[in-house]
Amino acid sequence: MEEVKWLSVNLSQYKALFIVVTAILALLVASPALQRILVYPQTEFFTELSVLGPAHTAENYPYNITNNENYTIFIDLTNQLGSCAYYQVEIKFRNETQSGPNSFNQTSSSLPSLYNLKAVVANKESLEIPVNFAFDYSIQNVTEIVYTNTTVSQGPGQNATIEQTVSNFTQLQANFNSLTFNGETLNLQGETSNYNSQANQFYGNLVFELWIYNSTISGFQYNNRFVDLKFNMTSPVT
Amino acid sequence: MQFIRVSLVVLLLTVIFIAVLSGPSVVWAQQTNAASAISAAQSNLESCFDAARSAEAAGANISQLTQTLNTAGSLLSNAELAYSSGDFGAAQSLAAQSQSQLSDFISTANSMRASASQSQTVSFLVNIVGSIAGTVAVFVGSFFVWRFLKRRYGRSEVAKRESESV
Repeated sequence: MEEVKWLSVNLSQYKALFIVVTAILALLVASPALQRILVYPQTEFFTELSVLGPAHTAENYPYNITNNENYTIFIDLTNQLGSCAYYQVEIKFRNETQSGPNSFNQTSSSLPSLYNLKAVVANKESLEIPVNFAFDYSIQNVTEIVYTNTTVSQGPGQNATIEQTVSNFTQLQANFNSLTFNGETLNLQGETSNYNSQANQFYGNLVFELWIYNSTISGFQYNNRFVDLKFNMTSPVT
Repeated sequence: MQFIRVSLVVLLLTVIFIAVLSGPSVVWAQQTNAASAISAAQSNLESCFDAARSAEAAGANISQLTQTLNTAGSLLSNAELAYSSGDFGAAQSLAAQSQSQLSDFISTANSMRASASQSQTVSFLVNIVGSIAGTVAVFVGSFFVWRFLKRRYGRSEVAKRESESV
């Protein structure tokens, strides 16, 4: 009698529950296919370029640079381009007056590259490149001859004359010999940096420009990205 | 005697002339060899990069390949630096080392691409076809379970009615 009671339960009451359970089960089984179909497509393709300090963090960057002292930094590259990429990081060194890369015009520095770091990074992967560098330089008093042109009026109706005065001008200048970069000696002879009395420093700027290989042109193209370190050369005057 | 003296002087002058001329030509030959070695290493690295990219597109894990490429790239960078500083011997040697790093790279990358394509096919069959077939099986199975339960429910209804009439 009990068995008949149990069987007499109205099955249509459980119809909705049965449908829900079936749908959940179907979704679970279909999830591998849905996972592939419902992936939100990547819409932004870019490369992250960053420079990190000696502790792999964005702090304690070298600033006051002593002659022949070793400094360590890290260059980080993260590829978000959707496929494996071949990069070239061009190392350039400049003073205050020389050409630097321009973020607004999206142009690279016109200075020649001192060294090219080549790196291949797989999609969605990062590469940390350790960089050890040391500058060989000296600070000297340099005498420069300055020519000044002055226009002298000769009175009404007469041509003005130009007078040129010559004066000696002595100033402090950092003269660079070489940059040791990851054990390689890069020639910096002829590079100078004049003392900036307003900023109270001998300015130096180490620039890392990112270039990407383009198979269509079989060459590297500037990626409009760069990171740089600004230095103050602090060795005593010799 | 006079003839011998003149001949010796001419010979000496010729040797000096050849020595003066051959000096720059040896350097020039070294420079040319270094430039062509660097150019060959560059194009080899580019071909290997393309092979690695194809393997990655097929779904292969290319960490090992990128490591090899980075080693070869570092040697090539040093070769370029040596060339620009006029050390053509070192430049040629470094470019050759870069090339040798990538000696069987393309075949490795191609085999990785082939095995990745194969596993992609298997993965497609398991994930896409398998899950679609599984979903259909769930619906068909549920339909039959529902029918079975309905039959049993129907029988129980008859049994209920019979027991009530008795």
